[in-house]
Amino acid sequence: MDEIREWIRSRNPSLTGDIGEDDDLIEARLIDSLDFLDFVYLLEEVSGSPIDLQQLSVDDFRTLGRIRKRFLPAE
Amino acid sequence: MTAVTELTWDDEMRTAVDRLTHTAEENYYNPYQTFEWPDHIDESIPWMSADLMTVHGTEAAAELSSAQRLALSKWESIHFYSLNVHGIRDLMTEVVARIHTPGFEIPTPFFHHFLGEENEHMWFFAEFCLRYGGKIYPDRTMAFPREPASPVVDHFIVFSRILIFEIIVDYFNSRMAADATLPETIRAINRVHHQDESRHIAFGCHLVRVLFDRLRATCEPAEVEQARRYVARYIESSLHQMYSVDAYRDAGIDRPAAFRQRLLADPGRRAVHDAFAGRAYSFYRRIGVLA
Ligand SMILES: [Fe+2]
Ligand SMILES: [Fe+2]
Repeated sequence: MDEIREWIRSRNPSLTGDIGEDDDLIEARLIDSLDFLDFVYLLEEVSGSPIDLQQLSVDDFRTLGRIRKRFLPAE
Repeated sequence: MTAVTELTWDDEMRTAVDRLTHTAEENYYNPYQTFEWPDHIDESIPWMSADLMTVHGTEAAAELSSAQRLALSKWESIHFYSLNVHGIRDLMTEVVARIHTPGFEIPTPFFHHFLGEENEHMWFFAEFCLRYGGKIYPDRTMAFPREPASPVVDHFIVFSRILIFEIIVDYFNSRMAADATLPETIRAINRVHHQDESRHIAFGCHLVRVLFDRLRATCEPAEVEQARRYVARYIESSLHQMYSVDAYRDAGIDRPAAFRQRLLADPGRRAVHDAFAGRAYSFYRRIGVLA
């Protein structure tokens, strides 16, 4: 999960403070359509398994909590 | 305040629409009868020009065996047409939403040709992928809620997305159409696409220029800034799309995601990106979007 937080920070240098488990990443535009591709590749690398976007919606990526539950259940 | 009253088109735009519509009519062809589709395409020669491949100019390129390099040229070629299939779906959706709606009376005659031609491009790109790759790479984009913006900003962003995508694709098409080392079928689809796209790009440049003038005249400075930032980031993101972990995996490359990271970080890619998007950068500088 640290890699995910780190990545979000690197893409949003003006971000101060912590990113909470339930913070809405989409609403806050911490992840948007333009860096989504790189984000999914990162998630695939961290989780070690491919992600089939056809089965998913933007809601599956809305908070760190949901991302953890859906893609990184072992953590 | 609605989109209707905000859109006005200048004479240059009207003349361009007339001219391009006329040329599209004159050059109309039946794509379903244009190509020869051989049973197989020779896999012992590259399917993509070496300088268009994402490993070109990188340190990591030296680690690939010649078999991997050849396989990668096949899969990056298939991936490139797959990107086109998905990109066309997106741009057709946006144009369909605007054709024959108030405000778009002037560009609408050309929208008809644009939509007809894009439908055909999608067909031959998909046909190529399915026949010779056995698949279309899945779409890796996701529909995000749109940032609330004035209609003019929305139009500017949508047509910029279309134009930037077309300009980058056209760099590839022109290069591959002229590359005599590639299989003839590959040269042909790139050549035919390039011919239609030269009209789409000319049209898109007028459309975007007028929309940016309107945007500057009617919107808040923050929105102008939003538009500028979007263009710069969209160009970057389009270039990143070319680097496909799926294609690296299909070419038998170890740890494909890490491989992608290394390529993107390689300083050798900067000049290549500037060349791919060069026409987009110079256009957006000329109309005052980029500094
Ligand atoms: Fe096209
Ligand atoms: Fe086009």
